[in-house]
Amino acid sequence: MVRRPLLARAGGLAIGLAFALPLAILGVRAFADTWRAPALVPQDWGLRGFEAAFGGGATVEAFGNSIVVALGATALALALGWPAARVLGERRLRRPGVVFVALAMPLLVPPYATGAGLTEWFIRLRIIDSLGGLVLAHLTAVLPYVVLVLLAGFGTKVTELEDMGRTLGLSPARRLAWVTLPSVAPTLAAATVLGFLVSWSQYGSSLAVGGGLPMAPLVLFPFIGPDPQTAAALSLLYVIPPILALLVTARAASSPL
Amino acid sequence: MRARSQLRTTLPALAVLSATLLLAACGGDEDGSAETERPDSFAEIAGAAQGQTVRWWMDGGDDRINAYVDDVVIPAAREAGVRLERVPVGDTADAVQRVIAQRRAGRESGGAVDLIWLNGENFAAGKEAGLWLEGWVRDLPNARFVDFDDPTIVNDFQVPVDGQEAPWSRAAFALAHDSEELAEPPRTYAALLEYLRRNPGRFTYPAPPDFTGSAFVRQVVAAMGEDRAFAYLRELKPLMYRDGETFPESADELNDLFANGQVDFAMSYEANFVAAEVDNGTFPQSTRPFVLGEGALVNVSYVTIPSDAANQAGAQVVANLLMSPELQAQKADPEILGIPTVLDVERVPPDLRGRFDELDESPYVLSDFGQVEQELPASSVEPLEQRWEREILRGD
Amino acid sequence: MTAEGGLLCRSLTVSPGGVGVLRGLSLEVAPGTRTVLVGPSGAGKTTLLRAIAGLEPLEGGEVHLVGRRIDGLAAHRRRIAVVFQEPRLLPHLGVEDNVALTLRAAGVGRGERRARARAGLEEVGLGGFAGRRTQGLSGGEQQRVALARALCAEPDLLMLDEPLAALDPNRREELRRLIARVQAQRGLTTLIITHDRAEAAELGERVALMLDGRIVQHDEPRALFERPVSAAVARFFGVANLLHGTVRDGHLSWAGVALPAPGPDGPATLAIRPDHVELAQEGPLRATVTEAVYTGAHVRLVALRGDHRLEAHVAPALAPPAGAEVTLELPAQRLWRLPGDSDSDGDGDGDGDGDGDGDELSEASGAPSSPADPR
Repeated sequence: MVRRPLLARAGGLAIGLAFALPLAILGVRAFADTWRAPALVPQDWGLRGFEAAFGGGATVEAFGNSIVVALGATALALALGWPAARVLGERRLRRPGVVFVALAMPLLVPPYATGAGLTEWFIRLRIIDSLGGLVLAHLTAVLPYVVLVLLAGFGTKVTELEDMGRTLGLSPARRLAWVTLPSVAPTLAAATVLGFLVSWSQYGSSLAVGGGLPMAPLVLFPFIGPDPQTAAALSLLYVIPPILALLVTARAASSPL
Repeated sequence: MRARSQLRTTLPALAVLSATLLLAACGGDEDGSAETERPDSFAEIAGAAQGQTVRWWMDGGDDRINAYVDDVVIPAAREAGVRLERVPVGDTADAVQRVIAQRRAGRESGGAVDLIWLNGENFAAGKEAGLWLEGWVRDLPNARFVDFDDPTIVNDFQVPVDGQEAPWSRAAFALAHDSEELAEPPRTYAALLEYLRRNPGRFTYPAPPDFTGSAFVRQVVAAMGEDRAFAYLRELKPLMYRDGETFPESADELNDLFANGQVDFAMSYEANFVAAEVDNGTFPQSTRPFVLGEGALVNVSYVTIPSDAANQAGAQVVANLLMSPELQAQKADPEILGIPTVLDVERVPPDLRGRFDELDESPYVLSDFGQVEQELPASSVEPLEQRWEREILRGD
Repeated sequence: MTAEGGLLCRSLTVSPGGVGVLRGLSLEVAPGTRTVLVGPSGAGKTTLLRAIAGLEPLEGGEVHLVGRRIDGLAAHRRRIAVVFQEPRLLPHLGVEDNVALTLRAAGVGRGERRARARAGLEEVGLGGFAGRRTQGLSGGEQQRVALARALCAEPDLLMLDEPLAALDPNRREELRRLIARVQAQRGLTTLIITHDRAEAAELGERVALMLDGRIVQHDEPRALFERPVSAAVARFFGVANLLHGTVRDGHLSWAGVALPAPGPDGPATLAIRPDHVELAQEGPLRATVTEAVYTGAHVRLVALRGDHRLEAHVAPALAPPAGAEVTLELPAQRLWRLPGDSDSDGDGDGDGDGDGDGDELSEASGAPSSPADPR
């Protein structure tokens, strides 16, 4: 292999540290049963945080629900965002600005306003208090991010590569697998991770639309502030699925089909 | 007691308030609860509750209270044939929001919120909008152990309860000192001033509108009246930590200062806070609680049932359980929670009272809060905070 | 229509994005030959290429290739390979995999794929490049990889869309020779698009000039330069001197000078390239030089005789300065009378419009039958 230049390695180290340092601090906090302020390290180590984290028994269910909802919302957002981003990215629309603003609207309106109205409509439509309802609720938050990220990947460049594939005798399926997906893979991966993260951390809509269905942020948020140790313990667990999502997609992006 | 969650932020409360005003304006003629046919006796309610799943929306940030609900209340409910689920929320206003959304969507039954732990502004806003089930509290069998003449129980931040919420928990404002450093703390306002003249800089309180700091100011106001209280706080200021130039931003910050030995006193609106902080390793084991002045500022927090709740019978069974001598005694047990009971122990028959009498004396939990001071009306909280900022913080 | 085995486009109508770019265009490329489609940008060249390749839907017309009609086929079934202006290499694949892409699609086994990709690279002069990544390659090398990839497909038709435009001038020459050589060796039916008339002349066995969505002349390169069928063709190929006048008895009177003009009497236009205008010691055509610009290869003179203007390219050593009085000579064998041109306003835009739709090809190809024979 070629020796990686110093800069790349320094960059890798910096990224690694940026990830590891907050995690390390969380890790110490999570196991600190006694930690009075001026001390650099805790006086007592223990598992109180984790015991409290799993105290209710709903924590495992909450993480499971959140993973299902995040995967569902992300998959749906990719399916809907893909054509939208293609049409926008290839500038095939006469008024892309209008579509763009419409898509970004959920990001511009304060979440409180959308949240209350959303709950009301979900109740009327009788899709409230279910995982399916949660997927749709999260979709409204996830979709704009996914489209905005996909937009960066879809452009005339991809169309040009696809045209090349067509003239070289690639069938539509092969074109998708050999040309389109690999050339947008990094963007697709970024959109997937971002979509997953946005869904994963939805507090307001999870509570309002879920009607009490256990979800990961609902378990974690109440502890932030009042109980730093339990919050840290839950946070350690909380970051695992997003990190897994990151690793899986990063791998998928770097070794395409 | 955990009014913190109720008053943690002003914004959601304001949002709830405006939403309820809207409701009151447009939905005045509909009244789902009064028309609902109600079973005659609690036995019928208990029968209807069998197999129901009650979703109890409550602040989820205290692992000890969570554990009490999970380990004590949920099994007791199961025995009564009700499946109880705890829905942890970071802000109680979120639960009220959900009820409002259901109301606005035109649903009068089947609501996802069966039971809410609340008090203060959230209760008042919901009552104003007619969100709560009415007239069920006194019919609960365990209501007979409650003294409904106690003004701290029939008024919630001076809003009449009117049978729309059942008392569950009690908060009292207490201070703490380290008995190894300071054997006898100053127990009156005058003594505290005197103590600080001798030991300047050894006291501070979180700056309102922090919940704890705001409660401290109300405690002083309740004890001596608003104008005298502000004169006192002005006198206190130059003797405080860092000459009163800066204040801690939160109770956590004050706890750290106390734990580091930079000040001699901590404070909280949670009666059992010393037990909790010793338990989680923040305070030294020699820490002891005490009440400043004649009596502590207290408030009661309640459980209420939205009138559109899907499982009203089950919710009433749970509310009744929460008021049972057995569960209240366990909650008062310092080993478990150490939260003062809302029951009038005198009314509990001797055969049921045993548990209260047997309660261990814990050095971390007060059993007597003196001549307790009723909370001020919720509406007076913000003006007081503004006056404090004007006269004490900026020193106009 | 004789292109049995070659490319035959008949009456193509294409309107990408709703704008009618091609209206009834016909074009023929004989099997195994190389045709360059030249024209200014916006003429519709790329639209035609995309229509032939199946990347742009036809509204009307037919495309035949090797005797079969292909306009109903999806692009990937047409057996047409395209080299675009940009190399369009897949960034996630190495050089060899890029070249072998089409073989992989055809189900060719790994070993044979390798061998054929390497042979293809060898053919375009990139023998040692099989194991390289595409990222480090120069523009010229990338374009060669793209060419090797197109060749590997063994297409019935190879199309190249401005393949040299993105390269720096020094590299163009090399690649131009490579394209010509490979095409000749393989006997590939090839259509090349360019906007550069010099490149068209060098690359094309035949050149088709496209103006405003029509093929206005399709002939051997020299014919377009020296025997344009219209003023517009003349102008595109740099025939700056269009002399309008009236022919009587085999001579056209222009600026008071009689120029030999064979053919029937009547209004006519004579064309002559600036590089064919010569300086003479004496003669009737005296003019004043108003401009003398050194361009590297020659000096471009603009000379006026009264209202009449002539442009000449002369060797720098012989060039008179601006303001000089000179005598110019228009060699008779270099003068070309534009066919069918009876109007004398010199605006040739209407040229060819009179031709029947879809028949320009035969009309234009028939240009040599014009009345003047320059040889």
